[in-house]
Amino acid sequence: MVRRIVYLFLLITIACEHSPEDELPIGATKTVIQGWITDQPGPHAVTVSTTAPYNSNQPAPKISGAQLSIWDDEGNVFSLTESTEPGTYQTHDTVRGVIGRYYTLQVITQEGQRYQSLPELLGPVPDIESLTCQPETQDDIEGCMLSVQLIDPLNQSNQYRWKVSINNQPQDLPADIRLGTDEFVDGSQVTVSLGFYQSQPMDVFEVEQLSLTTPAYDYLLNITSQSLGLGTIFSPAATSVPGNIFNAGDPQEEVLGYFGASSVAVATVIK
Amino acid sequence: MQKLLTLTLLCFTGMHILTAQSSPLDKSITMEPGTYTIEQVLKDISAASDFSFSYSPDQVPLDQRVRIADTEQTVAQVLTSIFKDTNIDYRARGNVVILKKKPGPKANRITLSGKVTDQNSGEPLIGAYVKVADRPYGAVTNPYGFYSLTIPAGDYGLWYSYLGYQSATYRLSLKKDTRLNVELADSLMTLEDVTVTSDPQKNILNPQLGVNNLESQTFSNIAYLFGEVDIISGIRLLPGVSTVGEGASGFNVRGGGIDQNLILLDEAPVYNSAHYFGLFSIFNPDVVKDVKLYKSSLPANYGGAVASVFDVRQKEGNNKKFRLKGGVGIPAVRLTAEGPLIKDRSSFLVGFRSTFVDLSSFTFNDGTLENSEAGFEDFNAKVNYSLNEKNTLYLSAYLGRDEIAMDDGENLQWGNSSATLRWNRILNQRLFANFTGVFSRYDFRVKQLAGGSPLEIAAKISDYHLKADYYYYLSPRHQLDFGGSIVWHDFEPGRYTWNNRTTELDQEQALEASLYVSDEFTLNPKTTLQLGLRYSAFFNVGPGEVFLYQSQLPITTNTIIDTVQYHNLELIKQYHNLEPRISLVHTLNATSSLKFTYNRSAQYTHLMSNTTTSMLTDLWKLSDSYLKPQIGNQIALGYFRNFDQNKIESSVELFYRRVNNVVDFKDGADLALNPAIETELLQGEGRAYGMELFVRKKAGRLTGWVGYTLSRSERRIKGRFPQETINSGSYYPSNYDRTHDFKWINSYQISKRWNLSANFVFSTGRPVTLPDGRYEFEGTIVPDFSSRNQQRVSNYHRLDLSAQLLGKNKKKKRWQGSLTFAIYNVYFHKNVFDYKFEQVPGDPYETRIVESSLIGNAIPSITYNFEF
Repeated sequence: MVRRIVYLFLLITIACEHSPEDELPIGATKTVIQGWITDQPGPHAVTVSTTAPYNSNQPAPKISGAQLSIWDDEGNVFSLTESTEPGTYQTHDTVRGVIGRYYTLQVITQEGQRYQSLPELLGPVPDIESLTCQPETQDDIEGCMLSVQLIDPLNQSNQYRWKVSINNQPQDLPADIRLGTDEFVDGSQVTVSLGFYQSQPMDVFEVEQLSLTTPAYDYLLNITSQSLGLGTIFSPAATSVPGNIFNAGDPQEEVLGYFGASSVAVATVIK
Repeated sequence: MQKLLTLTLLCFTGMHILTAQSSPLDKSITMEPGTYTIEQVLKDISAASDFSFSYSPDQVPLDQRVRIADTEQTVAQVLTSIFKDTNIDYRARGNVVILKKKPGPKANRITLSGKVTDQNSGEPLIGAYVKVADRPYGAVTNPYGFYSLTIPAGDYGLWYSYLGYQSATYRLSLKKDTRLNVELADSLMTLEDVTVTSDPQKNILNPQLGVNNLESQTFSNIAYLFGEVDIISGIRLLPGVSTVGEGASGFNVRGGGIDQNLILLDEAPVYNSAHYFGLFSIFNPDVVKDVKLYKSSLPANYGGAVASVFDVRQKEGNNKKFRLKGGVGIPAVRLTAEGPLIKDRSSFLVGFRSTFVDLSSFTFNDGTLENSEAGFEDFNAKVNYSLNEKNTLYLSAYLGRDEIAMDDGENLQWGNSSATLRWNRILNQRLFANFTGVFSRYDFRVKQLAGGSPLEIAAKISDYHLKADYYYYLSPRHQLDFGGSIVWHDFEPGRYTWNNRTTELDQEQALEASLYVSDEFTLNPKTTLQLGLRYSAFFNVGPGEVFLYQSQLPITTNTIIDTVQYHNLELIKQYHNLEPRISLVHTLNATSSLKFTYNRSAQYTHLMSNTTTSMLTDLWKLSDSYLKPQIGNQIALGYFRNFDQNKIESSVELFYRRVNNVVDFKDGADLALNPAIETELLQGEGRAYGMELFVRKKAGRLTGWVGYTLSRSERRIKGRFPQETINSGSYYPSNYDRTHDFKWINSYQISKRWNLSANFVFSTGRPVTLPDGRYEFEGTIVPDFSSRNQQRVSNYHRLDLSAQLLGKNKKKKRWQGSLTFAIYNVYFHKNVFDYKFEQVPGDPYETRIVESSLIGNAIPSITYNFEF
């Protein structure tokens, strides 16, 4: 946390830009599995794909025809079906995660590889006390500073993620992954600034507040630090982001991705 | 070696053996009373008996005349009487009587000792050379300017010299122990009139290898960024020393990490040497007297770092007259005052340096620091007091502070503070002792907003040292150094305060103790051996909590099975290490020598940093139950050769170093305020090897050096599990691996007033990890990396120039001013500082890599310095 603040203002320097892309190495192709289950009504989606060369400038190649299922610790199994979008698999609309249960994802590819996630606890999340949109103009752009207020539950470690949509349009650039931890503020009423968003009057802001386990929080934190300004001498060593998926038949295989579980609290505000 | 002669003389008259007994010494002989030479007596005894004498003719004063009084005596009585005025001892072995010089202290040896100081300021000169003309005797002053030389009594020509000073010669008749304090005059201002002699083959004769000693004057002749004379930037220009880039703190020695250097300021360890992210260092150039970097040979009195020891000594303060020194440069103003407090007994020095403009306004001028203010300050003070001829007390202190304040209320502060109290004691002519107490602290504080309220995060590390060092000048062939130290480490890794609530991570405490002995021993006139042994012990003690982990699984927060509580001062973990240090020099002739060194050292403190360079919030951690000490082993071989009457020194050094338990971190490690930091740590093996070439011209109008290093620095992290392994357990280049590294530093004295300097550096680009794949997380393109440090940034090169104009030197004018004009990065080379991997706005699938430079153009500067 401290670290991020420090390199915030060291990142960009007297920049002269030039791309060394022709020197880029191409690594082995790895399987990537991303998915999340929440306590909201379904469908809950999982994508299965592979890595691509860094400068491919194309969507990642998808893996179709796999069999996916989500298991909970009470023996319930929910199967997923591939949607019209190849490589994207969904649960039935009625599937809904339950707070306090552990969830595991299983993926069996057409080649017979069986991938599994580590069991993930779906933890509770406090309500959003208030969501405010403070109109502001930054560099002649009109918008608002968005912030949420919540009361963090005392004596337990809580991590949060906030997802912002404007007029039902999810904001999903790397900088939009907003994370928080109660490491310093356990049990307090806190105000979290979600940053500045460009918007017009009457825009509808919706904020989802998700609970995260510590590994899920670390995973997302690594995803953001890895996709935002890596490579400086002030950034951590550039590495693969370790997730919670493994190949049950070959634990040595490097698999990327995370299967998470969250409960969600929602609030809406109109500018 | 002297040849032993055996003389056997059989017949002679006038002497009879009366009784035959077992030992030849008990036999009685009869001699005519009278005066004989010793040789005659020996011949007579041999002739009258059946035994012989064995002796070396040049040890026994055969021509000395002795009186024989009694007629009948035992052989022992005769020998005792004839040798009573000599240092000859006798002893029977079988049928032979051996005559030898008496062992032990020789009655005719005297000790010459004293201090060598600067004539103008009274500053002790460290490493000044004392030589005896036409004899193989010599001594070097220790870090307090003290020397001692034990030689046979006699008439000698003595020569005292020090680089950049006029040498002094004395003719002395030394009959008894003598104290001779010598003052040498600085010859820098009178370059035209005096031929400056460099040290007489010091680099050739000294058994140490890989040691660079630079005087503060050397640093001022180098061109710097913003013209600010900087000791660490200067050190980085030596062969075998490098940095990962501008804006990186510290320096890397022979492929070691920045935390593998022990940085000492007047014997106080400095845990962070950086001001303003490493663009400047904490050493105010006006108060620095002498800088020594040990890259290879490590004297036994130093420990705690596996790569190097960087020993910076502050000036003691002029004890002759009051002086002011200072300057105005772009980043900072400096003012140092020094002078006598009590004539010849006490002097002081106070130095102050401060930025007077906001640093962020002219460095990172891209808007990121637009509304912030940054600056630093240093305060140095030193005072000494001679109680008497034999006892001197010194107190020195340093206080430095950096601050960056941003408009949104975020505020960062960090700094070092240290104090050293030293008692120098001359116990006798040959035994010199130094007792030191040191306090050293590094701390930082970050204030920011969290959850709508201010959050303050603070951490500090403190060290308390007690040391005793003895220098014993046993004989001209032996110089014995011994001593010990105790260090109490008290690290507070994190404390955060939010809404008046304070939470703290467990404090870390440890006691580090050491004992050492070292003998510099002249085996023969050509070979000198420095043999040292250091024993270090480390005790990590409570209070604290230690997590226990399942032994068959990777160490993670999920595999904690138990927690053990330790009381205050209860032993948690201990380590013991023996650290041998060997240096050997063999002189081939007057101008060349071969040297060899081996050293081992143990390091118990580790910097927790997983960035390419360290940041101010990176903390140090003590060895504990999980974090094992780093153990470094280095061997090096060197050939040294001087040319042109020692004006040009050159050397080739080969080195190989292996470090066990180097510290690295798991993928995606979170080190800040982590109570179970061992779950993020990995330990492995580091190795570095290479060759350094160095040619230095120390005298004349043109001075400077050329250095070239060819080297490799690698590490291997091979854990029990894939997540505890980096690059599948094979060797990979470290962050600071530079294959080729070339430095060309020189300074040319055009006239009495003008001096020009130029530096050129070239090195292979540092290793970097570029993405070899990508995938998506929601709308985010995530770069993926399979193995660390397999690519390199482009080669680094840069030329800097500076010109120094001295004010007119008028005899009566005390004010001496000078102007320095400097240009950093003369030919606008854009050295790569970093890469960023980013998504192109507007296209969800397009990515790019952006290369940027910290300094993309030439940076001119002007600095005014003065002395009064």
